[in-house]
Amino acid sequence: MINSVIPRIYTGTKQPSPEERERDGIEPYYPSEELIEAVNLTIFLQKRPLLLKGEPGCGKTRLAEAVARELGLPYEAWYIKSTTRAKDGLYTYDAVGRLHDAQLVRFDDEQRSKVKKIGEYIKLSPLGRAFQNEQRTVLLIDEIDKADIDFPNDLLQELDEGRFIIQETGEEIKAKQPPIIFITSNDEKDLPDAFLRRCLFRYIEFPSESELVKILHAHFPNSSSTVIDKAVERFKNLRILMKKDYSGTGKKVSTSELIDWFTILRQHPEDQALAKLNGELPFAGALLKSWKDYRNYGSTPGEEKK
Amino acid sequence: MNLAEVHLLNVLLSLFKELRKWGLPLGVEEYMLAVQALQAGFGIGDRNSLKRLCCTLWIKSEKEADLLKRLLDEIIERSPVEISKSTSTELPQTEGELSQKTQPQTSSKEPEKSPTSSTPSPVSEISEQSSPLTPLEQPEQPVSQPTSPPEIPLDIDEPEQVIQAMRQSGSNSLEMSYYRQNSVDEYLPVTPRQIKQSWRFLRRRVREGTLEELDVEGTVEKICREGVLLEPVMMPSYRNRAELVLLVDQGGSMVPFHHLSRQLIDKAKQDGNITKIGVYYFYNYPEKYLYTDPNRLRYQLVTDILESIDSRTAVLIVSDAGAARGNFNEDRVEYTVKFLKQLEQSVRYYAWLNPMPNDSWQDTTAGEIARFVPMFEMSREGLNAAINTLRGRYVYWERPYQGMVQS
Repeated sequence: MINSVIPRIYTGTKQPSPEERERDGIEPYYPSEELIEAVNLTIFLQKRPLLLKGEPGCGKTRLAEAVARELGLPYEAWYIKSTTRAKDGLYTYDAVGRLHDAQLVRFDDEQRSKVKKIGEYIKLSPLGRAFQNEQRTVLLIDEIDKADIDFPNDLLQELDEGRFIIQETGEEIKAKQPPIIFITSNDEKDLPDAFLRRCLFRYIEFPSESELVKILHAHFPNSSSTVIDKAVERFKNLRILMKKDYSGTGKKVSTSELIDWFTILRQHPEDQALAKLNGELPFAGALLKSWKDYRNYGSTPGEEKK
Repeated sequence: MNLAEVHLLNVLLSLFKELRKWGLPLGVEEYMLAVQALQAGFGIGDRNSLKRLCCTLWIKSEKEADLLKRLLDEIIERSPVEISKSTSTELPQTEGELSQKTQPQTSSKEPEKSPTSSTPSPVSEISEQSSPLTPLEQPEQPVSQPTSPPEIPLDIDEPEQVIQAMRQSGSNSLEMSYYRQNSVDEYLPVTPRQIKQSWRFLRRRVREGTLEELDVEGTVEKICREGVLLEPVMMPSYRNRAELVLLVDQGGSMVPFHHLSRQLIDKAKQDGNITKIGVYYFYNYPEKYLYTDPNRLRYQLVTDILESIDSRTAVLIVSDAGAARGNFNEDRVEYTVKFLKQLEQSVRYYAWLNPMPNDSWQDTTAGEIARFVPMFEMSREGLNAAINTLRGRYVYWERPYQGMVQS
């Protein structure tokens, strides 16, 4: 289906070994073929970030880390908050700290030399570090829609030209290698057109049933496939019901919740887990996050409800 | 360059032009990116891989993706695919060049017709007859399959009813942005994209939240007072605190504009800039009650609503004010003015957006009402002026008959 001519730098096949998972808590990640293609396009075109949208919990954020790990590249993450400003991602200048030190100069001569060096108070932030790194860096800008509406526009020049100037020192930080940038958005706010124009876009589709089974197998290699199949089936039915009832709006159960749910489920022996799956929705708290959902889907087995 | 590539580029170019016609902000740079990616092997293969490539490069939302997929199918189906024919006649180069030149032109001439066109052009007939195997052919679908009735995404499509109600030579009232050069858009008072852009200007910046910024004046003041800097004075940074109430006339003469007012509401809600937004509906003019749903089933007392909103909330009324009917209704003027007087006492900033162009207001109820409220037509300028009014900026607005009646 996907042509082999495409430069496949990222293949999405390298998963963490059991030791890595044990030691570093790295989880496996299975992207779809379409997503892999989009990632490779991003790597190939170099200067355009990839904007990822999709339902919450479908693995938008985790993609960047998975790419960095497979390609063995350094990884920087910039998590956006409602108060984040564009400059925060480039560098921070601790003016107050410097002012504080300047006050102490009269008591302490050592401080004098430090205070004179303004660079001492400047710290590069994720985007700045990604630019400075000799290696191509994978940069994640997570949940960009949380920030002020002007935030994305303030980043345009930095992303376009791959450089910025530290105002306080006049020093220019230029990207040694164009970073591979992933941007995630939950679509809480619309992003400005000028910014969108410069992004590649990919909507992460919800995984199919077979992909879900694959994901669960990868996360829980020791679990029996009967339980996994049964759990995925139950999960899928719940999702279909929710989709029908909400008709596209409202929160549906997500992949990450499936994993949480299965983590609890597998604490039980196989026969018990299967029995639970046939009855009332077990451990509904891991899947249903509102009272309405709990009432609608919690009690009866998903399939029987109209 | 072989013929398949020429054909591929043709399709790409047609799609690019078609998307621009739909108002997607695409430039030469975006087109070149696609070519660059094609050269590297992306999007080569079947139709789906080309779709995927174009979606990744040119599309920024799911709705736009649906549009792109539909357009691409249409283009491939109606494009002069003559590969098998031309190779047999051994005139590949000229044939290819010809189609490259003619194809985009034909598509730009009749953009609106093409989805529903019942009389097939000779070009598409040829393609149906020959139905050659092209690299873009969709494996599971025959080429000659008629296009299913296009399901047009609401966000992008422009409603026909509104088009009829607008003045025809709208070019001077419409801001021409760089991608608007086509007949589809020109009738429209204001596109959803422009509505979105305009709402961004509605903002009221207030310092609040945690202490984040250095208050320079405060700090200097403190140093002067205490002789030495012990601790700097911090202050919160700016946040947007724009609150908006939309009063929407629903039903009756406003029916043709429902789509437009819905766009206005949706875009305001999606924008994220406005912290609090209330939407109320009324029929013709607000009386004692306002409705909280578009079907006008649940209602609330006007006085209750006005009490609950902050005095700095921006209130925007969306109604044709009788201009669509074109007559003069004294009751309507009286009730509307009564309501406006009431409104004036509770909020500082309010404006009126009229979907009818302002040259149609004269001698109607709208013209009379416009004497009491800053009323703007729903063009891009009008919307921007209304939003500026809501921000408390001075905006000149034409008060008809100002000289004749003392108000």
